[in-house]
Amino acid sequence: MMNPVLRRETITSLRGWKNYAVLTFYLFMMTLGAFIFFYSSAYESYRFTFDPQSVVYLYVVLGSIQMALIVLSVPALTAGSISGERERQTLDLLLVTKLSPFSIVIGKLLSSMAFVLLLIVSTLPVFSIVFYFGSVGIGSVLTLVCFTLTTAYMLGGISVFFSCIYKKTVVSIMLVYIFTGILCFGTLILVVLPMAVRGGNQVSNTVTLFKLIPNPGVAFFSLIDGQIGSNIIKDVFFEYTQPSKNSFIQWGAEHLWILHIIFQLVVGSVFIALAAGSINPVREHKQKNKRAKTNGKGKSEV
Amino acid sequence: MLEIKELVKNYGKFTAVDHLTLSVGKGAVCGFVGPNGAGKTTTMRIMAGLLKATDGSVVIDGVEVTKNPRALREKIGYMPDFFGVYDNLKVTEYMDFYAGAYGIAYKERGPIIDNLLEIVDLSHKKESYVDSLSRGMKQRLCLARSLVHDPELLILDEPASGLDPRARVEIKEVLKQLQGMGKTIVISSHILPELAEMCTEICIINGGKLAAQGSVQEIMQKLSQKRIIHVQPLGEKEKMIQILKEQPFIRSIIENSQDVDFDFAGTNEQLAGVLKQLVLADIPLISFKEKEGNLEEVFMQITGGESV
Repeated sequence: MMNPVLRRETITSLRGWKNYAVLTFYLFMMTLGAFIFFYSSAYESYRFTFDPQSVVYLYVVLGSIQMALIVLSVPALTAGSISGERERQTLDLLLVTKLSPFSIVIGKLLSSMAFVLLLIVSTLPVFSIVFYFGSVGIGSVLTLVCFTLTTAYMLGGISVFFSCIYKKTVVSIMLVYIFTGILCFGTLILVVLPMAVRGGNQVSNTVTLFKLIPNPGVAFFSLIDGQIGSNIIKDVFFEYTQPSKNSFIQWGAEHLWILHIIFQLVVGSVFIALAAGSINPVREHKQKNKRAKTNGKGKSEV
Repeated sequence: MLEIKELVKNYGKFTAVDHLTLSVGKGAVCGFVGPNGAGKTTTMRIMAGLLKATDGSVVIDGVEVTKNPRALREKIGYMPDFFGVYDNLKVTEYMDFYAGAYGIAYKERGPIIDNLLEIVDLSHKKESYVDSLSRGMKQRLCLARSLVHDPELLILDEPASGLDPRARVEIKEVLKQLQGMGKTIVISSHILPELAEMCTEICIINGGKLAAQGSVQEIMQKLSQKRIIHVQPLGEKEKMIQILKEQPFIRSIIENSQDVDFDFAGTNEQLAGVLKQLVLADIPLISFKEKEGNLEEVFMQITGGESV
């Protein structure tokens, strides 16, 4: 049986105008990105013509816009999922049904993920411009889609968690953006600052790798590097730091995006579990009972 | 059906429910009455598994609320005092959503929803959007929602609050129908005369404690310290008052324009003696009866005049 929360969310969201507006804006931004890329490429050429060999950079531009839009839109779509139920005074009605808190959270997350998937699929015609000129295969685009979806999963999980613990949707959205900002820029500062202060050769490759794993931006460009044959991430972060003899670290420096996907799946799942636990009204009671039993045992032993 | 034992709920240093013990039998309609902040909603939320108790236990049909919340949810239907509805959802879709949430198979939902909408008199609004319904209709829809899985116990927190008199009557009719179907109902309400009319028993809660429990008559008999007897003569009122003043068990007499009320402290036999004396004195009587107590008065007496 389809998750009832997912089913209801699908019905209600497709009846409202908001999702259509988001979809239109999303497609507009992607198309605008493609247009600006074509125009600027042609503008720089001698006869205002487009060089098909540069279409690979269109792929980078579109992928970057897509990633940025997903990072911005997922918290807005998901951070109000549980707090919205609370504000609407419908959460209690849900919690007294046979649905487990986990089903409620998953239903909410899946509905957001379904919309994210719709956004991504709807941009495929724009991406198809890249296929027309060649140079990037369907496999690369599908890998990019998977990467974007795991990013959405992690951000969605974090958003649902904040939505569960804060009553106001606005607070949840702000916290997810702060959290995302820390992942994107905080980790980058943690890597760049020691390199700038002590010099790259004084900083370990291993430490740099582990600091960069949570960064979705660096992981995204690591994926793009692998797809278009460039070495930007490796050159910037690992070329001047102390090389490691560990083969895993060497592999990780080239495949940072795979480690990041694992990180996203783990973090997303942990936050989903925490979210489900936080809306379970009898959870604390269970813990308290356990504590009481333990205390009782301790006392009897004394 | 419902057994609450030594239930305690603390919010920091404030005790909302203080060692509350009560039981409600199967098929009973129990009215939960108490002033604001008495602990009614807290107790009901604990019963529904929405709030953890600090101490004590709530057992519903053999299932302890905190130990097996899933099994509990099959047995109870809960209607909170405040609730919202979803935008862009039709009445049937709203019911279908909750039927799905209670694990009812898709094929079985249609007849159940039709039947429930008929009970709450919303069949004609099946295709309407939920947010377009009036408040009374939303209350009835929420009641139908709480019945979708055919629970044995209904916990209704102020189901008639904020409704106009007509909508209140409609809700009352539905509740009577449910009572006829053998459902056990625990209902809190501000409208005491309505509770007195439909409840088989009343629980008066004050300061988180059970102040009184029993049928409406039992509570009033137990708590009414005064027996007010109303007498209406056709004439010779002064002569009648003179006779009444001579009676040893009459504590006070209140003279009205047409009739007389007196506070009687004796037994039924002694009261029959008073009536006999009035008849023997040829006082033409058209009424001689004990005034029935009022639940509202009893409530005020128990709770020390705190507002409901």
